[in-house]
Amino acid sequence: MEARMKQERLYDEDVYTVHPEDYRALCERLAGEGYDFPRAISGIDMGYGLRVTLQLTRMKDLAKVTVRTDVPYDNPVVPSVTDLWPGVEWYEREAYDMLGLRFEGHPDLRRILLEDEWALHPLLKRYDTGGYPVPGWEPKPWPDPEPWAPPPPPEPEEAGEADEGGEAS
Amino acid sequence: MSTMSLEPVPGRSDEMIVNMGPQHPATHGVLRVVLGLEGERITRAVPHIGYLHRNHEKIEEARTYPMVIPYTDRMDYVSGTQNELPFVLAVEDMLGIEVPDRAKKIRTMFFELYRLASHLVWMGTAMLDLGAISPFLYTFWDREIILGIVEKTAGARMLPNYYTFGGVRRDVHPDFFKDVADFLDHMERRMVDYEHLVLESPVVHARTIGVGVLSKERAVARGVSGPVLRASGVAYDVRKAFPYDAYPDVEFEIPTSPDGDTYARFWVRFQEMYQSIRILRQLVELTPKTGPYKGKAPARIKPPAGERYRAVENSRGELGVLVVSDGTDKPYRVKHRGAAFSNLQIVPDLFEGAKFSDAIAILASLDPVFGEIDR
Amino acid sequence: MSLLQEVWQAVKAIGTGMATVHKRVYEEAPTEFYPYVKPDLPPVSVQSLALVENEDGSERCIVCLQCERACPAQVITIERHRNPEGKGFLIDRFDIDLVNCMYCAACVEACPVSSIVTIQDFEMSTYDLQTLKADVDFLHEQARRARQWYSPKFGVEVRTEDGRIEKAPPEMQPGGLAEILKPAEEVDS
Ligand code: SF4
Ligand code: SF4
Repeated sequence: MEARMKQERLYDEDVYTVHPEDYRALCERLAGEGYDFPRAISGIDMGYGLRVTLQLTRMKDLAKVTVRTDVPYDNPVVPSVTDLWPGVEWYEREAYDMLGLRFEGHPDLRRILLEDEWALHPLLKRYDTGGYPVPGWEPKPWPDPEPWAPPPPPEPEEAGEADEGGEAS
Repeated sequence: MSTMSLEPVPGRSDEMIVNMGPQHPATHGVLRVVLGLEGERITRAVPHIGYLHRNHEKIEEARTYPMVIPYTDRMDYVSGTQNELPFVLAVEDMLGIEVPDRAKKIRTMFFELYRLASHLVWMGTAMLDLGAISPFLYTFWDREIILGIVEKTAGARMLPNYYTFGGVRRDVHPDFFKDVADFLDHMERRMVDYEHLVLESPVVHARTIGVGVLSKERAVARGVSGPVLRASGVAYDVRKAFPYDAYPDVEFEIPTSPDGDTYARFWVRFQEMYQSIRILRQLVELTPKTGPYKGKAPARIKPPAGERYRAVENSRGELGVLVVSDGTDKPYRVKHRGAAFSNLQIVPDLFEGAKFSDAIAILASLDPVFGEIDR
Repeated sequence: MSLLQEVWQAVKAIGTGMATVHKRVYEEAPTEFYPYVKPDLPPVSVQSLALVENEDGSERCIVCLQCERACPAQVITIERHRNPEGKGFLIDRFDIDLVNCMYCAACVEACPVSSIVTIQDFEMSTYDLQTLKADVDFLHEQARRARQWYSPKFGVEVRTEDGRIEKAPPEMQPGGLAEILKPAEEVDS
């Protein structure tokens, strides 16, 4: 598991980027460490796939963490964490509604803001603000090194940017 | 939003399915709750939201950074400038913009004025839900004064578009500090009346004490914040936990109540209004009357690639925003963490087992604003 | 609680309620008798937009498209052509869709010559939304009818009785007067 996780410090938060298969295990570990206040789950369309960003606070000492995981467009399945933090229930529904992320194990995964019959997931970058396909939109190749690849040891500062560089390429 | 109703439970012919909303006056906008009723008692409750959805997040991706600010205004429309602050703070962090001390204090003054305005609207509408009409008229009367003060400086009353990267858009009106001081005197007199009409009223006691109890653990796990969380005994306030703007310079307390019932939520909001008055009194003294109101900000706002989450404590709780930048002049993604959105999730927990008339009181104590929930 | 106590509680509550309501009867009511008494709006209040012309009737706008670029609602449409005689550009089309405008005044802030301004005229209710799709004549007309207007660069300006455009006296100006008026003076000369 260690090889498939990147840990960095961004401003005042610990940021973990993990492989989707390890996402659930990491969340369970964090819940065990006392992170009890779920701030939000955000879905982000990265251009090569979809990113889930889970943000947590520990009420005891106000430590903040962010957990990120990237999934491909053709199989956007992420394990749900509603049983660990019931407060993310609506945020997971919102991410499903807006980006089509499917949270496995969510008790009631329906659209939340749009109608049940709505045809598309509007926050995907392949649609413009009017809901029409963006001409010439193509998914980018999966970043290499992978987003959760740990940075090479000598220059941790530089490697922290590697993730963003991969997204821009 | 969903057209879904509740499926009847087989063998439970005594359960009645009732739609509360979306055009129900007690839902403070357009909330629809499908209720399963057994006589007066609620057995099941499923809230449906989204009737006011505009997809701000998609629009904001197509706008440049300064253009996003007026859009954020339109989320929590009763608390004006409070919505702009998380986005402004996040972008300032990414760009490393310095905000002059005076600008921070002016921002905080507007922030607290709008907290008073928002709590006044809450008090009026909550009492209206409980059947009292006079407090509604009085609180809107007082709120009018706040909006008048804001309009004199910012040019608009509810959606002022006043904060900007590095400070505020224009200096305050020369009368601003005097107006605020006068208003605080007025407000202190009025608070005595409101205590009589709301907190000490036996009708309010009968309708709220022991109703809709939310336990501490449940509240935290559900991501509830703001007065609702503090009424359950958790002293979490972003103003103290992660101070921003001028809050480190002023003294105030975080009122909490251990009870977690509807009355506790009423009480906590009242105490917050006293704290707001206290903060404003200090700021009227502390803020220099003249000086810079805006720091140096680049002409073209282009944060470096990266992401930043910033939160503020607005009238309803932790209002956060996650800004993801890809180095261009448009945000790659703006994700709003709505305080009222998170707070509304506890509706099924609190409604189940309550009486129907209590549901109205519980909903009033959560103070939802649908501009922000539906975004 | 005994019955007597309950009765006493009820009487007390009604008493305080009545006393509070009674107190308000003698206070000045905040109600405005709107169609008969026009509200006294602060000069910076954003109620509508107008396009100011110079005193001699020439165009103040230099058609730089800054306002179009700054508009978050993207409701300003400008078309221009080069001035055949002299410098600069001339307006072909200057439309603002006042229906979808959100009165954020970002355009007013962006304008380098304070040509587009905010005015206090809010009485624009209509049965036909098409009438609010303002073109350049509509916006000029708004400015001609206005007694005063505001822009961050020039502060509050007033139209005098004999049609001249002047800076409003300091007591009408919003905050930051010194900072506002200084650079404006230089631009004017
Ligand atoms: S006020 Fe705002 S929305 Fe209206 S035209 Fe100007 S910039 Fe656009
Ligand atoms: S109104 Fe002002 S900003 Fe707009 S084109 Fe004319 S001069 Fe430029």
